[in-house]
Amino acid sequence: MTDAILQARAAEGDVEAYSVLVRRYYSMCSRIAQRMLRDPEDAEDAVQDTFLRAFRALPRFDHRKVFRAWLLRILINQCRTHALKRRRRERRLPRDEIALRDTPSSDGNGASAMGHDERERVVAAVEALEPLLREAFLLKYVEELEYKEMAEITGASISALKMRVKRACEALRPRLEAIYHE
Amino acid sequence: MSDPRGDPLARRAAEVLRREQTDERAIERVMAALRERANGDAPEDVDVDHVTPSVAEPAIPAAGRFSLTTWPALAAAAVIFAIGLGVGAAFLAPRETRAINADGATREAAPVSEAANAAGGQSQLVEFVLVAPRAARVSLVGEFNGWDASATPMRHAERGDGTWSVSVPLGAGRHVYAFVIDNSTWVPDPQAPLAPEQWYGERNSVVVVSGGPRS
Amino acid sequence: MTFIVFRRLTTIAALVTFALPTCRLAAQSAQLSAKLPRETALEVTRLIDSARALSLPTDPLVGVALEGANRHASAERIVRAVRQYIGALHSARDVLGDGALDAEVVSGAGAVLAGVNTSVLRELRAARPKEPLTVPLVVLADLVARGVPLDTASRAVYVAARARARDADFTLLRRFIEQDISAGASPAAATSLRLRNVPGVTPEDLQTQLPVTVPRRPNP
Repeated sequence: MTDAILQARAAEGDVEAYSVLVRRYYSMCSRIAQRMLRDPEDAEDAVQDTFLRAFRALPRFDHRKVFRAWLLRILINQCRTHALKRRRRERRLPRDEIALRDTPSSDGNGASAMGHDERERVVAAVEALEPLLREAFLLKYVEELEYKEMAEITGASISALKMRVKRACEALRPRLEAIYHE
Repeated sequence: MSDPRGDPLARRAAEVLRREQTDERAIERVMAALRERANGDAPEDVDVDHVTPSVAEPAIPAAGRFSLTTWPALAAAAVIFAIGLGVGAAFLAPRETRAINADGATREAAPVSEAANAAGGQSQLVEFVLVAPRAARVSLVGEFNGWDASATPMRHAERGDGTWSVSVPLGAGRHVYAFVIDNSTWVPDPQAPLAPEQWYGERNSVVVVSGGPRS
Repeated sequence: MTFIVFRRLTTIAALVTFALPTCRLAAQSAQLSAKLPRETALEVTRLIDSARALSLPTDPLVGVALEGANRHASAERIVRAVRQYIGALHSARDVLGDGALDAEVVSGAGAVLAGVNTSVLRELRAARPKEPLTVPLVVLADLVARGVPLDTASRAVYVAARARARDADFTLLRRFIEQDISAGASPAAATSLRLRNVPGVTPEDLQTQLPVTVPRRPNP
């Protein structure tokens, strides 16, 4: 069933129709939120908030537009808001707590240069990117979206987005080379 | 010439990131939240309007057998009850509880007296403390004094560090309370658990005294 | 002669037993009448009577009404508060069982009002069948009130209960989490971190999931 039919039903309050959309897009949203917020709990909060807001706003959604882009726009905004809130809190956090929380692996070993897990190291490299570059990289490379859609989602121009993606790849290169060419 | 499919290393990294496992439980949680909202689920509002109110009446065994009539009997009972309480009160001796830094949820104090036990279950002396250096007056309010700001004034510690305190006998169970500063500002106890109920827009605190009646 | 005296004493004893609740009722009525406008006092007394008929604890209901009076709340607000509280007490009692302590039912009602699902209360009862749930429920409601997501808080209290944590452990857990939050930690992260330090909680316990699905946020 296409997004359009599901949306229409969901806009009338059909929770089960909406649940299909949730399942369809949950992983994508979760992947983006995890890398943008670097914390699984915050990420889940942002994703849940996104789906709940989207459900409430569906009646006002213009069905001629693309649902996915609209949803991701909400998600990106949520991630930015959550990140801002956390930055404010972080100013008062003791340093070792930040370190403990920000490491991708659960036992706190972190992604050191000697880490064995390829995934951990890739995650660390991507998460080290500046937020705007990271966003662009995730949307282009991980979610494989077109620049046109990315522009709708982020509100940035296509040329700005192309530049960010390029800079992201350049920034990642040294670390990725270290991971893959050892 | 750059690869139209993009940077190969970046593509490899992206592939790794796409392998993220979907958390089924997280999806369930979103759906649970959605359904609750959609159904307007809230803590069940029991319709009490249709329950016939019953005013408890003293059961006088087999009317006619005894010559006592209702009101004098009630009065007698009230007197007996009051005496029981009074005896208990006479044995209440102010005793220090644990140090202020004890946890806020369970305060332990020496049980007060046998008479108090007899009157209505264990009563324990509980100390309440608030640091409020700029206050002119602080009082304790709660269920136990009908939230009356004039009922339980607190004492300003002599050492002048802005500490106010009072000790109150409380029966076993959960008690909600707050402090009133200068007869105007109601504040919860910063040391204690918050009472989740926000009936009137403001928060109160909770203290649990161990022991307790079974309903 | 002895027989008559004995009968009189028996009567008095019976009266005392039944008069105690009457005295309490009278005292409650008196308090409400003193502080509330007549209509409101009547309405509230009627509601409390209904609650009493359902065997629910009534002291907290009187407390809520008096709190409202002393905070100068409107009559509608006071009546609404009493009704809501009765609903929550009823839900909590249903789930916690007839043998539950008054304090457990009241704490349970508090948790329900904070947005905790009654199914969570059921699981807690199952996890800690012999000891009172009063303190764990107070801690759970407190954590939720401080911004810990519902499912994180519910799971943490459940895990601790299953690990046979004592009341004092729950109290300390709450204290530490509160301090962490004041220092700027994310409520969820603080809870997960501090749960590890509860005596008796093993790494396997930390993997335990609540047997029921809990939404992340309470209803607004």
